[in-house]
Amino acid sequence: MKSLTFFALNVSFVLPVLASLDLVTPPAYLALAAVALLVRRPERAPHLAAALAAALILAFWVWLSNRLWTVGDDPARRALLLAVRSWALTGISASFALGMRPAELLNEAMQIARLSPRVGFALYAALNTLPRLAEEGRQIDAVHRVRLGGGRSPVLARAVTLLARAVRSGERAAQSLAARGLESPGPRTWYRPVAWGRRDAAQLLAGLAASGALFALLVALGAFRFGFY
Amino acid sequence: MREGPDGPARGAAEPTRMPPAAATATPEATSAPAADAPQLGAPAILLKDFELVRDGRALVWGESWELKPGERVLLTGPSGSGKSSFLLALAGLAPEHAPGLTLRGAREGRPSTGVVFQNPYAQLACPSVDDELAFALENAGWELNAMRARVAELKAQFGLDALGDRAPWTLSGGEAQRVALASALAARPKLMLLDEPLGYLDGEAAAGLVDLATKAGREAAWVVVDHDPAAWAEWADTRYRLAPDGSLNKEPLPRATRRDAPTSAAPASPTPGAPILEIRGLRAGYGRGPDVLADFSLGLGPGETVAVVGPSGSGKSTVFRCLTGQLKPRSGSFFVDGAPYTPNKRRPSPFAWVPQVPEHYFVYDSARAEWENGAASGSGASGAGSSREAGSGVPAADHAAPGLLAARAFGLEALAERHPFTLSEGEKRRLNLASALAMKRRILLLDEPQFGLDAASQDALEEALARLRAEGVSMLIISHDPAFCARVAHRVVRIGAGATADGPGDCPSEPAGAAGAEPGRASAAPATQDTAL
Repeated sequence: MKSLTFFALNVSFVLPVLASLDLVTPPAYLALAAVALLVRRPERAPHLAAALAAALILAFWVWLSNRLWTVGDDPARRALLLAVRSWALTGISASFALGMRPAELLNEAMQIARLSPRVGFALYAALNTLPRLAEEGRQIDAVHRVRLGGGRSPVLARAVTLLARAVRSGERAAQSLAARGLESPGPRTWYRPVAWGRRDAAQLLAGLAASGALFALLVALGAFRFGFY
Repeated sequence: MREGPDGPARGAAEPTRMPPAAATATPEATSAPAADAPQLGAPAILLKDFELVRDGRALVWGESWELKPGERVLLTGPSGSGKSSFLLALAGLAPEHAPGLTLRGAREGRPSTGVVFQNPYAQLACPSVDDELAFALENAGWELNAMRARVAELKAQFGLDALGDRAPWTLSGGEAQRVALASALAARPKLMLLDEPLGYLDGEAAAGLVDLATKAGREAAWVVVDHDPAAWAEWADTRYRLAPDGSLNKEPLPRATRRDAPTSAAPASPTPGAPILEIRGLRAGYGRGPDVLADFSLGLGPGETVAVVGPSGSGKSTVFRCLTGQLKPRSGSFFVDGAPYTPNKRRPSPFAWVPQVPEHYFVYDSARAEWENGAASGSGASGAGSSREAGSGVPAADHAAPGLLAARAFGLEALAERHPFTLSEGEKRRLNLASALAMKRRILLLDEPQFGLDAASQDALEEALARLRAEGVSMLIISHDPAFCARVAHRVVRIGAGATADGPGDCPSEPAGAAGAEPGRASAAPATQDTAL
């Protein structure tokens, strides 16, 4: 399964959960996200098993809570529904993170979804910058602690330093990319070419169909309750 | 000012320092000596009646400036004079990617260009080294098989075979700069522009990069900006110096390197005394990895300056990380004034620490606040909340005096109201030192203090360090520049990859300037022995 397909499917899982305020829709789509992850990255099965164990414990707690609070408009029940939705969204996001390779997604987005290389390589540069900035943040904190007699590094001072260095780094990255012809008008070729084939289209359609069918089923059963908060 | 290169053809008969694999795989490395000279013919670039302007100010100007195909030009000049801006203009990146910068006048020649900047990490933007090398080829529309062949060729040429799948941010500085140079050369540009490319490299890596530039041949014309012209003296055909008034003047190539400068100026040893800092049997490493330091011991006497030198990755910074409580040692002990000391980053430290990147030190929004609050931090006030966020709780006037004295000593008074980030690199470094001095802590830790400074700023730094020595401050310096350490330290401890913990024979502690005529003191702390891995 291509990264782009995986991305699109996860978006299709998140949207119904965002619009739901019930106890069935979020876990149902979370389960679908887990299936998508298994299809894309079978080696993630141990992670999923651990997540399933945690989900079962959580489900028991939700069931128990639901038995305790039976009044429909009870604020506590509303809080429970919001919590379940948040957990499901977190779970779907975690599943997406486990199955995603950012560089692969960007490469496919540029070649298949026609994302501008200027945007794509700017995002690549940002991906390279983040770990360096994190390390710089740790260094700044260490230097400030020594300087300030063990006190915490002032958040604003650290943020200003990191921001200034990130801006300079971004400027250099843009100059380096431009100097190597990123904006040249001629046709661009790819060192890691990817193509969108029938199999990819079938996988995407099957995933979207499953997501849509699940939604239709939940509505038909009356389990889906619309609501944002 | 129309001047062509007049230097002798050099380099073909010089010994090489390339890794064998890279040397044998490099087509350019075997090029005939006759090819190692600038080519005749139409200039690669010809500027006439030109003026490089930034925000209304002329940075660089001249009646004529010519770069021949294959010519190697070294461009020097003081910090802030406009060298880097000139390179950006030559690369055709102004004003689109250098706002406010405009090159006026007539220009002939817009060759394809490769650019290498000082900070290798800031210019590498692709997910892996292979992608980085292929990037310019993709943009030029190369066919896939040709791209793969060129990437393989570059990896062999630059010793990058084992790094193809690595993300750029995981590379060492030397590796990253080799990748940057290789990726700039990938599409066989006709003009190569290097902006202080050795700034992040230790001596060995810097020499290796100069060798790679030599072996890249004469396919392109090269312009290199560097604070240390000596590093490129054997490589360059021509040297231009950018004067403070913006004129470009041709100058002879240097013959003696700053890094090889005589060490007869090594400072006189202080009066021996009980060590103020002792490190005994330090063993440290990261995570579950191997030891970076093994059985490292060091003594620092009162008023003494000790420099720890060694290549990148040899563990120099690890010593500071352990001393400042960032990294828990696997074994070993510290003593300050003879008493056991356990570093803890949450407790007041006996050290003043000047980091490698001057900006990491800054907390306040003016130079004055930096030196005044430096005094506050050292005088016992925690200073933890005394930044832009809150007041220190200590009236500014109470601690202005030592800060002001330090600022005067480092010639910073005129910059009092400037934001620290707007200062030049040399001024930032001096502000770091003034603030650290105002803290009145007994031991000063300096991490690569000469890093990124031009010759004038480095001279100013060395004067500042001499002033600190005169104040009786004990200093521990880590650096990859042995000659700098020999000039500023009483004693140099060598710590290096490939060394073992067998004893001082492998990792000797030696008086600064030991190679020179002036003997120094072998050790300020006889109870300890400087050994390192």
